[in-house]
Amino acid sequence: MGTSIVVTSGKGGVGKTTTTANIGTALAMLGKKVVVVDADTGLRNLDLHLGLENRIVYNLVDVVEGTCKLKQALIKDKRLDNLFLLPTAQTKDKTAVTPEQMQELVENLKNEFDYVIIDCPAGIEHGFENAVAGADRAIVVTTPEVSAVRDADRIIGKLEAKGLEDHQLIINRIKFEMTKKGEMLNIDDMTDILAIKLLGIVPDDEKIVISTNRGEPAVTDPASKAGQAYKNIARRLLGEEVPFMELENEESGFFSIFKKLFRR
Amino acid sequence: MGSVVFKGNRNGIVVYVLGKEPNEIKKDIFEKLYQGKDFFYGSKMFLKSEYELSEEFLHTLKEELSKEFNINLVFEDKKSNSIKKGSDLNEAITKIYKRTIRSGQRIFYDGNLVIIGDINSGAEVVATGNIIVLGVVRGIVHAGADGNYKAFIAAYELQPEQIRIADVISRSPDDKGNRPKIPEVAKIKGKFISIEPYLPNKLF
Repeated sequence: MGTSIVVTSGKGGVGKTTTTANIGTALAMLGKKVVVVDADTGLRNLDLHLGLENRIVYNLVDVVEGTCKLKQALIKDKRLDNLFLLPTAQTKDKTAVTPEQMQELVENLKNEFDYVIIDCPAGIEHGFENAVAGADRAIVVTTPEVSAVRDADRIIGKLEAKGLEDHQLIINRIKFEMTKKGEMLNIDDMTDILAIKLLGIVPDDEKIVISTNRGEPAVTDPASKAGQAYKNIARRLLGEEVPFMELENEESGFFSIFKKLFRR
Repeated sequence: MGSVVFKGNRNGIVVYVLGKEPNEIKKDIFEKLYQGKDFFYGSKMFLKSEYELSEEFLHTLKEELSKEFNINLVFEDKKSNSIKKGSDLNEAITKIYKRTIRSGQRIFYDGNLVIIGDINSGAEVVATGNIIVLGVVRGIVHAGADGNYKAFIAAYELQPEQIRIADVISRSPDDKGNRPKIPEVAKIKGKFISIEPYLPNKLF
């Protein structure tokens, strides 16, 4: 019996889908059998993040409506044999699926896979209800902005009201330079406000845009800092103790070499 | 009773007419409506019939319904325009869309489709006949959807996620660059879909 994890945030654009794609890929790279589920019916994107958009024939809505079997809708990743995608419909809306159907679907997936990772849509409406329906754990993604933190807080409240107490926080798109200068919310403040366990910090990385456009998750690129952060997160999900990333940005330039020398 | 069947859908009430006899049809419709006069009051009603009903009958029925129940009757006579398998697509009924088909939109037509505009990624265009696109195809196109292997898809630029003709599916290659920006035609050759540059004298 596997574990189902929903990736949610409340606010849009904070990196839920990127997080889902990367954690899913990272867990698969660590040898787990993983399925990533797109619960954002009507605005699906997870297929693009994994570069699998041209393989979709059946989707989640077809499965719950009984048009096809679950196995027919699962798409095998092109890089990893133990990673699968369950895409959703683009031409339907959220009301095409009910929370009860989602719950049943996730239960079925849990029998087959070690990890079922559900990409939740933005908002707190029907789509959110569907996405969290079958989840055992939740990952809340936020960015260092007051609006994202407030929405994350709302979402955590919602999760707790549903009895989903096993939740952890990912702070995405941290710019270490700015947090150091105090221009951005700092990590301690955020964990203070939200009062949940920190699962990981992901640095802001321009390369993420490139990897999304190419359909290659950042974790597949060994040079990517964000990718490294997601790999650490995946290992923490498996129960390993991995220290958080060094909070200081790599300083470059001539003087930084001296600075480093003197620091020692 | 028995000459009509009432069904409801999102748009209103659909009445399937099974009988031929106008007086009987009228009697049955009124009988049914009187059973729930308040319920049906002010609604929209569609009439679907296998047989040709006379214009005169339909118009008197429309008038009486609107007077008695404030029902707006819309009639659709079933002129069969569906293409039979293997029939000549060149003479099938054609629908023309003059807009961009965007992500999440799905267009279905029982016949040929001409799209003047693009089909964007995430959109789905399905026709039982041919599909001709005066624009770029980036989404999913499905021609000959009821099993017609002779259907083709032609477009100014074919960069689809998937092409489907009848029950054959073909997906685009994974490397995203270097696709030709010329008019192309997709049709079934043997067991697979083949895509060729559009050359007028080579098409058929």
